[in-house]
Amino acid sequence: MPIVVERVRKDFGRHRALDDVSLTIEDGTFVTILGASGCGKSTLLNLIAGLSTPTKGRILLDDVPIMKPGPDRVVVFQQPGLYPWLSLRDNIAFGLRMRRTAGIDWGRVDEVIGIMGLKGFEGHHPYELSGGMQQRVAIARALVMNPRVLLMDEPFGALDAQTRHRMQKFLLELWGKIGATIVFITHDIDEAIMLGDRLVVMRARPGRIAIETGVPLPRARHWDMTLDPAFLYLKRQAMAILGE
Amino acid sequence: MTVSPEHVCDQALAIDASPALGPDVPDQIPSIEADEIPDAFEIAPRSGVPWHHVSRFTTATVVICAVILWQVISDLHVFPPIALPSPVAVWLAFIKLLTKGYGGHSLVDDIVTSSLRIAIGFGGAVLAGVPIGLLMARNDLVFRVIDPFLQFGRPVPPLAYIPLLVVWFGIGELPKVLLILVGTIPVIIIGTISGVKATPILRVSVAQTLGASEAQIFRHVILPSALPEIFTAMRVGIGVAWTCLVAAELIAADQGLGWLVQYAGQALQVAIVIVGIIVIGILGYAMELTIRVIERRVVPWRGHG
Ligand SMILES: Nc1ncnc2c1ncn2[C@@H]1O[C@H](COP(=O)(O)OP(=O)(O)OP(=O)(O)O)[C@@H](O)[C@H]1O
Ligand SMILES: [Mg+2]
Repeated sequence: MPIVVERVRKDFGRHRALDDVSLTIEDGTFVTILGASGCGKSTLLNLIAGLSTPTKGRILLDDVPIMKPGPDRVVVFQQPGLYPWLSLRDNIAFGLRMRRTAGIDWGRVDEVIGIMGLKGFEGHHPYELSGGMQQRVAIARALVMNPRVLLMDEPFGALDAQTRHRMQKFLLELWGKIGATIVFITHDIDEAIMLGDRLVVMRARPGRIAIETGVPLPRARHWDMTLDPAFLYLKRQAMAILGE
Repeated sequence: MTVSPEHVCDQALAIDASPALGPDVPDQIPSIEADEIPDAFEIAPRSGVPWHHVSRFTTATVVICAVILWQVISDLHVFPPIALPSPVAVWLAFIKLLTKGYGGHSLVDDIVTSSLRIAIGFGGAVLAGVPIGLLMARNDLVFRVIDPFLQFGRPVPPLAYIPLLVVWFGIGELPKVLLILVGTIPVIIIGTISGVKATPILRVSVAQTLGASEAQIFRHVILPSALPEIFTAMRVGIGVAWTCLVAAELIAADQGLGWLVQYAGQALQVAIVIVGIIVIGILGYAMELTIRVIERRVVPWRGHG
């Protein structure tokens, strides 16, 4: 079920955040969206999530226009957005609890807690966690839903370099296992090329897609590849667009 | 600021000390457990904050100084004793109120009577006001129907309702409790609405993308998000309730702290009036503290975002 973005425009009052954005995201691909701050990345992600609707154009999922959010497209937002009255474990289980089927698979919840390195903190409340841990809880809360589409808005922005590195590796492994479609926003060029199957680079004012290309690197990524000529070629192209 | 040699020396030591730590730091990639440990330390409560004690000490000092000043002024007979009785005279009046009572019953009866009226009137205002506020925040039609009454009723002083309440409900307990309720409920309703409106949009978006229904979002996201403001409204409301109490006990009362203050005032028993005022102040403060204690249990995340 591809996601098709068709000539989408998004205005906020008189401000044009996105203009003429078209993009097809094939099933099971890992798409990274790269762009400077304020170029409309979050706006595009919110549209795909169904949290807002395009001013012009349309976005299709399974050939049906996206009208509202749904648990098939789980979002990891730029800020953790945890519920302060719930413990870490209950925050992660929130989406499962909202399902109107009986019972929560707590085994699955605890498995994800382990994967995200949050073991031992199950009973803690968000205000008792560091910023990086809160972001990992937000990621866990999305993963536990087993979504077909995972929309991630700079999810590793708040993490230190080492944790970030580990999370990137983990995300790639996970993607290999669950085969979800991942749309991953970042403003880090290396991160965008290292993670993506396909790379989208955006230009600002108004937000438009500058290039959309495949990443010609073997799927099993390794950090040595940052020296690969294909990597460097893409990086140079992206840098030119971002004006660095 | 002059820099003493010791100071320079201290700084040099501090700078020297840090590179010494360098080589000891392990080079390998830390396991997940290992890098969790600093997080655990970060959340340890900060202890040894002395400000709490300082402020308590200050409060006690101010109270004691005020009482001493009061005693001195009354000893100097700046005002006639009937207008400003000394603290000692007020204390004696207090003891007499406890033991012999005034107007045929003890001070304890007044306290119990007034507290019950407050509890029922204020409790009713919370029990009715919170659901009304939630409904108004959720449903535009309900908001449009109720809001005019709210805006109209808010600036009306509680005293103005008394004749109406007496005509409609007589002179028993009902009009007194209703007056407290009517005076307090706008505070609760407005606080509840503003709590709902203050729900961070991100919390709602998260729930939507996780598949929560409208009703679930209201129950599991908006309601808990509104709780801190509801508690603030309750703390303001309890003060308003005491204000209304004194008005309520103008309605053919023969008991209660508001009645005591007015009745003793008419008899120029200023010492008793002062006792009544102090008791009202202490009880009001105690009730506010009680709400604060409950608040800390129900919304422990308050002030932590
Ligand atoms: N709700 C809104 N109302 C008005 N303007 C908005 C709104 N949301 C976004 N914008 C504007 O649209 C533009 C794009 O915002 P967006 O959040 O999509 O940027 P971004 O690419 O995600 O940036 P960043 O990397 O800093 O997160 C910005 O100029 C922003 O000011
Ligand atoms: Mg953004």
